[in-house]
Amino acid sequence: MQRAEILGKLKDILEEVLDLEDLAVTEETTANDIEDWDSIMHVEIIVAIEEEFDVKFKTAEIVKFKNLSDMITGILDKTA
Amino acid sequence: METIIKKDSFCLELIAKKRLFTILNDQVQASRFFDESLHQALIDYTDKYIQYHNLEAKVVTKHYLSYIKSYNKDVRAFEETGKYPLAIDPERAAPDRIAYDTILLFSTFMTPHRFRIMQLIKEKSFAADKGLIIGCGPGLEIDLIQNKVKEAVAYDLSIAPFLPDFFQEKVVFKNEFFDGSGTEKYDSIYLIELLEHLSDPFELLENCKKVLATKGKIFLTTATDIPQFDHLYNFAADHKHFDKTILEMGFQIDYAEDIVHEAITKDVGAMNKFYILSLK
Repeated sequence: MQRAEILGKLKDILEEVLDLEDLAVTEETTANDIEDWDSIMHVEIIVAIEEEFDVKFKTAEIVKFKNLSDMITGILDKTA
Repeated sequence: METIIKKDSFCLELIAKKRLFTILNDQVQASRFFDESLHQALIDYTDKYIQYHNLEAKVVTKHYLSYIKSYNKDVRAFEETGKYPLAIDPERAAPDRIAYDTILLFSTFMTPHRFRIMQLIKEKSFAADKGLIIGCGPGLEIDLIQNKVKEAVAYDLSIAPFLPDFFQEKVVFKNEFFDGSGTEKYDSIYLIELLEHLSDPFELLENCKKVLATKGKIFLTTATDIPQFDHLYNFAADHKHFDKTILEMGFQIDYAEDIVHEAITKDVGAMNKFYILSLK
């Protein structure tokens, strides 16, 4: 799976979990860029990502996700 | 550290099954304060509470997830208005006693800051003849100190049926507001996660001073920027006013610790502060 394809799926997940429409995201997007993305929502987003890509992250990995690029890399590492 | 699954534990089974709970509990287990014995004690007590009230996993899950979603909205509103939920809507409905207790109990092993508060209660409490717990809620603080006090009195405006049955003759429960009356003196007084629920926390501290034994201690916490549905008083983050006021009241500060809420992303700068006070 290509990074752009994963980014597209992450956009869908963010819109679904955060109940937002037409979210503009790039790999550099962070939680601080999206108003409703707080610590609890972050965990819910991680759960949704795990379900979508059939992966499981460790706590240490979750804490290190600073932007969508880190998440994409994490997903690729798990699905390689 | 990943979650350890112990057989026959309602809570640990639920944590293992519900991924959101697994991640939240793992955060507590990964915190720098984590200790296994306290974690087990919190789980054991919550298991007993849930078993007594015959709560199903789906009900407990619903209570906790509803609370998270509600708190999330309240954080948003607080960021926008600077007001607590009750200031925005004085008629705000509260969950019932058992639902609220379930949330409170679960959050002790789902959030690092509440785990730390429980840890400080356990570690800092000392052997005493008489203990007074005001705002005892689901009773977890009583469980943590019960082996250190010979007699205890616990106040709350709503006492869950579990408490008198579980603690039996060890604790006298009073389903009323504590007003400082009576001649009984207490060696240790606990005001844990209580003062933020009052419009005038210093009035309660004055009442506690009246019943505090000469060499007794008050264990208390404050809350800053925690827009929970039932919080009334927001303590300033620097605590200068609080510290000045309690010193003027005749207390001295024996111990103080900031407990900043650890979160994966930064929220509203929420924190608790744990104090131990004694008379000057």
